[in-house]
Amino acid sequence: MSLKDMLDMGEYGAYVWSCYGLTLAVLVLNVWLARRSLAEQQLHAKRRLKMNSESS
Amino acid sequence: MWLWFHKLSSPPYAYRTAGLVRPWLFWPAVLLMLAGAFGGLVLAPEDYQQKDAFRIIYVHVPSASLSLMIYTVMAVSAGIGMIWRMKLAHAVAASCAPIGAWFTVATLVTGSIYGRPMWGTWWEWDPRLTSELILLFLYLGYMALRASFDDTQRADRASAILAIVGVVNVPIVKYSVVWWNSLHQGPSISKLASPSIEGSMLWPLLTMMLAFVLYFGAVLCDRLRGEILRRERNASWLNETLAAS
Repeated sequence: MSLKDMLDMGEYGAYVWSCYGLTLAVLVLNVWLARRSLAEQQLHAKRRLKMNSESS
Repeated sequence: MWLWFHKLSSPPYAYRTAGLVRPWLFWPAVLLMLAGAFGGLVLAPEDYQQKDAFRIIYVHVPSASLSLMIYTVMAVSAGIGMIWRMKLAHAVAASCAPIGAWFTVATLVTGSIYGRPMWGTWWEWDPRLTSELILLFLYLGYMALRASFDDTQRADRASAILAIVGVVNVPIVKYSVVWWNSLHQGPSISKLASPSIEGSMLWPLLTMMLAFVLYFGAVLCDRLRGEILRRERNASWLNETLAAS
């Protein structure tokens, strides 16, 4: 199978590749969102602990 | 077993365990996805009816099965949280919702793109499609309901009821193609004795489905850790855990 055949996918290239692209986007986005919310919560928790230790 | 269950339900232990387990789920998931995509896009022969368009199943079907699996995990966790008053179970349920919602969107969009060349339409008010859309509304409703409470415990209880009641939609989505006349094709791999799909087309699909499940586990680990931190505002264990990280 040549690269052109791969891209063309018969006559369905646009349908097949857009599905793979969108799914990849959702996969990457979910990891990024989860990592970001974890990093945010870690930062908040550290700040809170620092404030608590300073006030006590 | 019960001892382990009890131990895992303690937030510090769950927080640390999720952090340790995550890479062991994530990297195998990436490798299996690459293998599944190669198998599905390159190695599998084209379908005699759907030609190359059938290759969409390798992303559409794993997304769809994950959207149902995540809802089931969410509802069971919410149920455990309600019955045994386990806060960690509510945290698991809350962490599932956004991931499930995204995979429901992926299912609907890839399904729509698949439907266009196969059925000649982007959308039809068909039992399978409509019940999957309801699944998306259940996820969104669950998240909106949680967001409407300031108090986490009240959010847990109210949203758990919605999650549990909504689980009735899961078998409706799954069996809609059997119970009603649907535009959507029937099951191909669940008939275990004689799957109506050829081996060289089947293994990439099963590989992808396993990869998506492992991937979900990895993302859930991150989400759950964030959720635990949000809930355990002033717990003493945070000091040593966060100082170590």
